[in-house]
Amino acid sequence: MSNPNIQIDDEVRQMTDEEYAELLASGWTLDTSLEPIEP
Amino acid sequence: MATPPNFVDAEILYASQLNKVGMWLVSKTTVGTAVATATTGTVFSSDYDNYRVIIRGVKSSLGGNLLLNFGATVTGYYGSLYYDSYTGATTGALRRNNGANLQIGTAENSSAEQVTSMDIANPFLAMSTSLSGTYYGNAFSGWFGGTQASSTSFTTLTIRADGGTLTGGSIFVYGYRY
Repeated sequence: MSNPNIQIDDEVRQMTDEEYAELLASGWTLDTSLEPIEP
Repeated sequence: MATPPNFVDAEILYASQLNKVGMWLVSKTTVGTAVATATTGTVFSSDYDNYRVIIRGVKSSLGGNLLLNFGATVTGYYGSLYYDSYTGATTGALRRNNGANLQIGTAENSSAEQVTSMDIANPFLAMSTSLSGTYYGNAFSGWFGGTQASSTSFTTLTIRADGGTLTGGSIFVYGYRY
């Protein structure tokens, strides 16, 4: 599966592997089966 | 000269009156489609000490919390967020104690429109950066506040949800002249 997109100012591009690894390390998930999270 | 903000085309604008305008639009960032994170361009500078940021209309593939980072800093965030659902069924607080980001509201995943409004103090100065604000989204409203405790000078902010991607909406950054 390809890495998700990142936006910086008006530019949208695919995340590098390093950027994606940092995002995953922060606890983020792309799992679309996840139920909406209560705040 | 007419009294601001009622200007007339081709009218001479006097500095003494324009300098009384308290807030200027620094930047509007339109969030793209299916982006995991959205970062503004350079929005904080020596032009202003304090800023109003409004984030509205951001949709999330999952809903959940909307998170903020300054620059590339992912540690040293302290703060809390209060949440309350309009049904009264759920209320409570979330906290950050040397966390990786600050919670600034919710990312909407329904047809409704979320909005977060906050004031940010001294992001560009080499001192701690604090913020406070309010929000509504995903049936929840509340307030939040916090600080990034380092003395780093920041020029950008990044938003993301705690899961999934963001699509659409805008990030408005205004600078307070005084």
